[in-house]
Amino acid sequence: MLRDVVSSLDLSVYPTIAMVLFIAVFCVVSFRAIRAGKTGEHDQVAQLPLREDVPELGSGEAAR
Amino acid sequence: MSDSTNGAANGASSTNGSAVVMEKFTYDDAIVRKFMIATFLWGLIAFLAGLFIAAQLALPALNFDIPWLTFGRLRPLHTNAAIFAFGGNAIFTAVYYSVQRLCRARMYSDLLSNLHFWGWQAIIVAAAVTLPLGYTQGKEYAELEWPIDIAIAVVWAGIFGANLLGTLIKRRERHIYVAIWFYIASWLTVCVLHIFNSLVVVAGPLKSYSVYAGVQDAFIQWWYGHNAVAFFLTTPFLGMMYYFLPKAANRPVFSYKLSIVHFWSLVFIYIWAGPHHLHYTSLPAWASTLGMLFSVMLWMPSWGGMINGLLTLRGAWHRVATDPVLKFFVVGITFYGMSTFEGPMLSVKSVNALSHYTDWTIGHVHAGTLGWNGFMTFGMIYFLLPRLFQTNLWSVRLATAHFWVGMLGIIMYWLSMYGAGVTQGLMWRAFDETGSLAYPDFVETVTRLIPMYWIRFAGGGLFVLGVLFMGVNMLMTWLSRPPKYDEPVHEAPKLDPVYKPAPAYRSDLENVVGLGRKFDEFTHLGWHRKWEARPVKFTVWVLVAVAVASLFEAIPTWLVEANRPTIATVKPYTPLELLGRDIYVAEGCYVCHSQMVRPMRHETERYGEYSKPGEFVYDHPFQWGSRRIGPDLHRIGGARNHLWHWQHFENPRQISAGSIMPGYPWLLEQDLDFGQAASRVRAMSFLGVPYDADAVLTAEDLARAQASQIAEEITIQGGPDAESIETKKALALIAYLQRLGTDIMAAPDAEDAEQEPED
Repeated sequence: MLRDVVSSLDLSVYPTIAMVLFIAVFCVVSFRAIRAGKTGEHDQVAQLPLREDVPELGSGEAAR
Repeated sequence: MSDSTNGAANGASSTNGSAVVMEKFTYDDAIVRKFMIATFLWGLIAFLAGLFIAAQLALPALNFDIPWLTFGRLRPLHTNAAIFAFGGNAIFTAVYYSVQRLCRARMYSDLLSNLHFWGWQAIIVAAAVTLPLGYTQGKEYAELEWPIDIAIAVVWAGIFGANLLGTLIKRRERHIYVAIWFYIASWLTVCVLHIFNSLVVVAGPLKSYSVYAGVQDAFIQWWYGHNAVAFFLTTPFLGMMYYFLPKAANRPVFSYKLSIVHFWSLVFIYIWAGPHHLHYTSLPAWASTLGMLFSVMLWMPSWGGMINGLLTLRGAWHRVATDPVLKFFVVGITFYGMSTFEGPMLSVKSVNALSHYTDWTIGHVHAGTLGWNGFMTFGMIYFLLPRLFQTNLWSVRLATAHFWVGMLGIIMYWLSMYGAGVTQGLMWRAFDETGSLAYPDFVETVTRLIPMYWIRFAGGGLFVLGVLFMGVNMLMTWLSRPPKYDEPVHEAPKLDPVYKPAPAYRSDLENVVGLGRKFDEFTHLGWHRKWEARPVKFTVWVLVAVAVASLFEAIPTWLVEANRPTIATVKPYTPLELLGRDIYVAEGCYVCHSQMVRPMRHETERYGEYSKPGEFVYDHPFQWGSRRIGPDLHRIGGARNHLWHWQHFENPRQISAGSIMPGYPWLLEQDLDFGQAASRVRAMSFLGVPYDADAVLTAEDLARAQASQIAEEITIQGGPDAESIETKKALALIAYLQRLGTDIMAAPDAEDAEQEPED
């Protein structure tokens, strides 16, 4: 019964919708991710590998 | 945010005179030196083994008719050594160096560190001994037999896990950096993969059978196999990239935010992709389509990672010209980008129809392992040498020479295998104008590849030459080390047990609905910053990300009856055939021969009826294979007479001119241990294979009777005297081969025809 209903539907537009959704999400995520690299709000954590040789007090995120 | 390490509140309070507990500590670099040297030594052995077996493909006589020098046994040694010995030690070098520094803490326990090191080396030695001797489970990259599997679980899951998590818990830096997320995901997922793929029923001290059979075994094996690539060869090396590249370039990663997106999308998506190794096989189509879709999606986070890596060098590109460390990293990351584009492409079914079973896959894999894993490791080693040996690198010019020689080697390897793969794939499917196969003789499609096999050998040789350069550089740098290593004492405040996160970001967007404001706050990732401060919670979320996909794919495969149809005429193997199958597995026949005829006209034309899922229900483990260096064997049963096989084992080229199969003369000389038949049948019965109640008792007699019968037939066909050969190993293998793929042709017992699956 359910199979008959499903098989009689024309779902050919779905792949196109899925592709548009996929590309849209891809573009939004890419844009936001790359743009955010320059806003500076993650600078403190991004510095972690570079500053570990000179441990210093108050160098954490809240120090900004 | 306020903790004793980096809290503003504490910083302020310390100026007010209240106590901040400062702790002194040193880093354990001795363990890093050990892992680094092991990386080099095992790498060299893995690469030389690869070079040797590459030469064997062009010159098969190079096995010298010695069992433990034969391709089928050495290829697993090569892959295991490259992945787990070279790659594994490289991972541990990176983890032990970077985690201590990122956490501002010595490793949790020196004892665990050393147990980890020596335990892992012992496992490698055990593998290097057992694999050439033919002790194998017959599943790619999971060949090691059960006692070694248990040791891996103890060392990786137990010792390494305790040491890593212990260090995270006693860390002095609140935030765990992105490199550590990748290490956590690697450790956790490899635990899960290894344990579930290695579930076996023991049939002897070094013999076991996978609890899974046929389609399920294939599914779980490639869930494991693909994610071994993901979580052993990708995520730990991404951790390496996120730590060592900023260090070497002396600038922070391009986008921390992108690394968050990169991490979670990669971890979540990768785990679904395994079934792309099984396109057009007997795996249910929904699973393989799902694998394909997620593989294509995987392109996105992979390239996100590559871009993040390459753009980290913005403003530092001029240094790439002079610094061999950055050279290796840049090319390594570029190879990561190229192979993570090629991978999704190869996972598209229509491309895979051509590429699967050919050398294209081999080329793809080596672009990843030599280019990405190799070059990232070499870059890391050149970065570490002066720091760990506390002196200057002996020769920057030699390191630069290593880079160029290695890169030329990889390109020669990759292009020749790409050419070989496409050539052979096209030849297999070519029809002439009469509608017959253009190259009906499989050997024709092999001899065409020999020149490319020599180019591959030369490329591999150059790569090894580069590694030897590195060895010289390591040795000379080590020789100029100081008499005693300086062990600087570091000081950092103890981590405040109470974590007070920084005030959350409040959206300042105006004229938007509440939902928009919430979305804005979400995308500023303050919630993720809190996760970064809680490694245990973080680990749990990683487990969720990995488990969801695994369960979505695995549960239907087990529970939906339609996914494992049975065929009434398919019966369990006879005791002799079981023993023959053991030989097939032990000799690594699956390394060069598939047992899976795909439903394509050129395949059914060449091999016969395509393979059905119900034909493999008693196959513990499955032996579908992944590469056809020789032809498919699923319909070999009855296609040749016994004598043909006998003579073919003795020397394939006396039967089939131009064949590159090595000779197996020892199978004609060594006696079969018929006494093992009972234990094999018992193990299979335990796994649910329907043998009669007295099958264990009669197993040996049945095996001997069948062997005598085959021996007599060989004599009748013009072979040696039956009495002189009726105990030989070859008879069991012949019995197995003659059985392969024949059951569906058998007449049904009574009413049972093929039981069509309900869908």
